Amino acid sequence: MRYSSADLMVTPFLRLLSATRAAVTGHPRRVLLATLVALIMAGPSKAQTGNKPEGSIAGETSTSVPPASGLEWLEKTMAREVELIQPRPLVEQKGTFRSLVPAKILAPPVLTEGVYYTQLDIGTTVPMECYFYTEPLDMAGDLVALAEVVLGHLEKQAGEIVMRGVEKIEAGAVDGSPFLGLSWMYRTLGDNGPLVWQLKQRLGRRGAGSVYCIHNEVGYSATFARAFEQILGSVQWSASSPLPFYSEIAVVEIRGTPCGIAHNTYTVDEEGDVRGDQIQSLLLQVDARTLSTSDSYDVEFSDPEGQLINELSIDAKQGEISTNLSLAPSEEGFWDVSGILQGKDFSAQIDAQPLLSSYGQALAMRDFMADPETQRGQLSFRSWMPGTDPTVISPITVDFGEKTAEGFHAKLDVAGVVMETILDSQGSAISAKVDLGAISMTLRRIHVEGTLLTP
Amino acid sequence: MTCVNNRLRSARLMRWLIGVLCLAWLPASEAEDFTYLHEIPIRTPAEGLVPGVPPKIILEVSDPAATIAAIPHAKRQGETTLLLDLADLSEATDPPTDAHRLPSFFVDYDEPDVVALSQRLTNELGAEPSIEQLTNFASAAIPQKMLGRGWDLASRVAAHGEGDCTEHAVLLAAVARAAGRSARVVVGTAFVELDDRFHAYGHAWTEIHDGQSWQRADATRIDQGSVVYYLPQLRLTNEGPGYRFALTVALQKTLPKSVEILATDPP
Repeated sequence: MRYSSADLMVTPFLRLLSATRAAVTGHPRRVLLATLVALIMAGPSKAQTGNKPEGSIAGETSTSVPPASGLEWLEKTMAREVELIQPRPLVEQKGTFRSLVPAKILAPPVLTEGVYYTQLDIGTTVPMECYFYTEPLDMAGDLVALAEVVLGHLEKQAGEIVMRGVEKIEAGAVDGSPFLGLSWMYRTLGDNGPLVWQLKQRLGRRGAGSVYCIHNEVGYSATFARAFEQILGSVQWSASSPLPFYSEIAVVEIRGTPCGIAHNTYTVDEEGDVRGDQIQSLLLQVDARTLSTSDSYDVEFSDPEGQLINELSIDAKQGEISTNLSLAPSEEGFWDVSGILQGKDFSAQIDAQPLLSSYGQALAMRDFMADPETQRGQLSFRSWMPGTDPTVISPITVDFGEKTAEGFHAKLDVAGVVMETILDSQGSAISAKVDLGAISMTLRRIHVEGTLLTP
Repeated sequence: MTCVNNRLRSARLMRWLIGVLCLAWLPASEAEDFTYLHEIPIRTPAEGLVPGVPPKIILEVSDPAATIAAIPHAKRQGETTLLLDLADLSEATDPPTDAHRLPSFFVDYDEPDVVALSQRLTNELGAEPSIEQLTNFASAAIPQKMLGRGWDLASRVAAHGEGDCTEHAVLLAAVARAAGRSARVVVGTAFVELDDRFHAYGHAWTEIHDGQSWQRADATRIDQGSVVYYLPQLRLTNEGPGYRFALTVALQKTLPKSVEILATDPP
């Protein structure tokens, strides 16, 4: 099987939402709260006193906090939650998708500019708003791009945003569907004086589509999270996508803080070849209000034994595709690398030799670990890794250590970068850790489904 | 009081600026007291430091042998620690080669965006600009001082006009080579003496050959307004498509996990 452009689940940068109905809000990470709130609440302002003021966004009444109300009041407001109601079906009129929502449906899904929009009453003053996309979005790049659109719209509604900060980044999975979350605190200076707001947003991919939800009200973070997870975990699209025989999702953390998600799936195509899809989305906080995003996609095809047939690798930084490379065997017996590398046209040839796909590498490790003679030995193979150097075949060495209840401990040397990893008996990483100076990055598997044996 | 406040504000601003301009892989959170991930944990003695006098330091690294190979005057102290005198930092003595003058995948001064920038440089400063002029020109060509880019090619920096220390370093190397000089990108640690304290950052800068020796040039200009000690750990030789990964491989071994500043001996 060879890939085609249709195989690439790469979405263009920024899908503009209908600017007429974006509404927003958020909830701060505990450790950040004091600093962030103090910052947001400080500064010159026409301070309001007295009762909780009410702002209005997108025609809805929303609670926000006047800076003069005090930190204690804000903390209490942030901590509030409500019980969700029993889920009920949300069905798009033409059957494009269906989902279960733990909310009263205020507005049934309406198609606008290629996106299905709905409003949900989850028991809060401001409704939760969800957008259903019938195509996969770039979780990191689109989440930040959509935040800019939403915050820009809010600014028109609630007054100038005089200060804003990232409150929390989340990464997780529900029922095999990965998501990223991004929450903001911001302060507006409108006709009603200065107000503090929170914006919570989550974007998840499931099957052939994506779900993006926002909530613009101080507090209710757990409520919003639970509602989103029920929706994402139950959405079904009319357009079916092949079911993977194996799927795994890992959270990427830097110094213990989630900052990204990695999702690998393997499916079998009609010719019996194994297709591997590897998606990684990283959302790094650069300063209090700036985020750096990276979305990468690798699609590989290999035979059932794991020998690579061809591969495609795409990287988008800040929502802009910077690398788009393919690896395919040439008629002369080489591997041809061609496409765009860091924004430049690029082509190269690599000496011919059989290569293992990522699927093949997992199989090799599984077989190695299953052999008691070699269990604590060393396994080496070579792989095309465009993230290291697309013009060479990179050496990978796995030094197996002891086996514990956690799994097989191993040291993985990828072309000179060393990481500690724990593998399961299938050769798949349960966790991995790489140190770079004072920085420690970990990969922690949070979901695994199926086995690496092809059906 | 005003002076103190102004000084504090200025120091905070300076710290922010330095933070933004230093090596930017993985910066992190926090609003006012923002901790950048390229900021290296550092311990400074409560007393015994003499302003402007380079102290001795202890570096904790993951691979001491590789670090000594990169920093020859560092001395092994413990299993994972090295002793280093910041007074001993000297410039490189190796002669320039053709690779330091030619365009490469990373320092791609033959790309249209850099060619246009270099033409502007010639128009403004003549055919033989000084190293100081080149440095200021590259600094001004990046009006957006921000994190978020990650080791962009010189041509992308010229096109976007934004970046941190790595983008400043490669653009300066590119315009310097375009002006006929030998230049290369250097990666290491910057020790910044600021507000009676030391800060340590992963950093990148440029070395330009003046015909006699290599001269350090920092287009981020963090050296203006504060005392900075530059500890080179890698002079980039792989400027091909794998340059980023080559950097990662080298820096995993040599980038300090932590730094301890030792009290300066009384003068």
